[in-house]
Amino acid sequence: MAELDFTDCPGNKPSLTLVDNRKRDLWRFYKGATLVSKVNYLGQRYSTAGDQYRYVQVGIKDIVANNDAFEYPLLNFPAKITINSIFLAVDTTVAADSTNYQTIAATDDGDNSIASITTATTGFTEGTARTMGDIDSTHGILSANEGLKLTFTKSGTGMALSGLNVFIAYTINEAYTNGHSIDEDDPPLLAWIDSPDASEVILSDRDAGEHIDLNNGAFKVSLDGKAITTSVDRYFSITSCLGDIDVSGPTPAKFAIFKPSAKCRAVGFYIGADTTVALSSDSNYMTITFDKYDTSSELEIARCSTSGPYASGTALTLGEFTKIADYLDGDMVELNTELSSTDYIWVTLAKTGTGGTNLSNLTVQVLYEKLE
Amino acid sequence: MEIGGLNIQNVGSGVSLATLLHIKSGAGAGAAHDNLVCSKSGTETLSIDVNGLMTATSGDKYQYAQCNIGDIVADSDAIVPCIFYAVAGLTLVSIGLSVDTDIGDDDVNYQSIQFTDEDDNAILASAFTTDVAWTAGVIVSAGSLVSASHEVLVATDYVKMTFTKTSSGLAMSGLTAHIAFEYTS
Repeated sequence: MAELDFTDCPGNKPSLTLVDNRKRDLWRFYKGATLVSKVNYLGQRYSTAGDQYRYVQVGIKDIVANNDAFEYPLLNFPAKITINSIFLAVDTTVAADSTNYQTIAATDDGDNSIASITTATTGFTEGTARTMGDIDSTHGILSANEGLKLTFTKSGTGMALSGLNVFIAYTINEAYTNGHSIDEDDPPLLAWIDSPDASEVILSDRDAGEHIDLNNGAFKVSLDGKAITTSVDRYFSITSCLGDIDVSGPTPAKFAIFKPSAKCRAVGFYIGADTTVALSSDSNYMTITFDKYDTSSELEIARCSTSGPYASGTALTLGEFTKIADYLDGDMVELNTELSSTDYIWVTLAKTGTGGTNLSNLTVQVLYEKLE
Repeated sequence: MEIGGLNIQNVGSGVSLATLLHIKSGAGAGAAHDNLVCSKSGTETLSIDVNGLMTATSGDKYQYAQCNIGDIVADSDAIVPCIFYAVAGLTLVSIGLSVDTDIGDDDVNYQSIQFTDEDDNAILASAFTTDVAWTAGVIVSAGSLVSASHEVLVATDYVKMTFTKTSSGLAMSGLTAHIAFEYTS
């Protein structure tokens, strides 16, 4: 049987409540002598299993031989993160060329290299992911709201790459304050089990109320098994590269950016491009609208505009995401931020005047929380 | 009624930093026990396994990834985009596809799209064919995934995409793959 068994726990209070005001972890589970799971005082969960990883993928498409002028925004997360791995893939095989090749680097906002490869001695095989190698132990840790981007430097005449995709895995760092660090103090609940059988350590089986409440709601488990946290763990992101927007042509109809399989809330929108776009006009600009599409109607969540107007437009710096709406700042239409499993987030474009400056590899990032 | 179960609140505050509940048992080989199981009326809804993996039956279980393939020319048989790379064990739950510009129904000239693992095993039970009217911005299901092991990825596995044209094929603007998956190890 379980070490702690809360089957049919009476009343409506949680099966397990832990409150500790000394900023230490609330629980830790060990496998043998190895820490495998914990929840810290902020409600942030730590795991050594595969669920520690977050994934971001960006399809930046075709790269011309001389691509030095472009920088591609990949990720901007609102908490400190560690980049674990970056892989690249192309859709058409290209052989190594020691004379004309690309040096491809992932860099932070300060242009410090996080990882880099060249196509001088190793090319790409279509449909096959190639690692960018070891992640720099210093620059691979990004501060909250620090960007990650991809840059190219040609040697000789460079090398064209077809259908380039970038695959990033990262983990969210622990957000300690007051000088506390991992394992500084033992937690209130410590389970260190070389389990002699297959029984669970803690079992909560009930038909009403919540299972767990740590530090007054910092981390909770609802009756239906939803893990709820107020920590940075609650944020997830997805990046979508919409491609080149030529203002002289018809703007494409609609871009599907995100469709969850369960209820979510959009909490942040960012836009970026691989070239800089300054504010240049009050009459010629492009409006980018983020809509919720509920299968029957388009409901605006937020909008921005590039190239202008001067007073309200969004200037873009190559390789960087600019936040254009934040749920917590109240600049989203709150009613429309909640997405059910059948809802989408759409991005639509609309020209005013000439539409302003072309947008090269317009890229958007959506920050969201899971609600169920 | 506010009974609840175990309730530990700031015991020994300012005096002790002791662990209040220290579970230590056995000297076995570390059997495959769960560290935590939460159930609703006997049905498990959340667990943290022996390795720290949290799984749930709620919407928490879904993770999302997206890959923009871009503009596809009518004859794209030669290209093989890689659209997903796993760094840990996971299972693909669904794959959707979208375009950014309407495409009319064409039963003569179309594309068959398949997703495969790195060993070229099919992930879709049947290839998705584009002989449908396709509305810009609408994500359509690529179809059922195989009920075999090919949608189950281990670390370093990746997913590829292939195109096979029928007649002269079909151009697509802003093709994007939308993936939902669950962590499994």
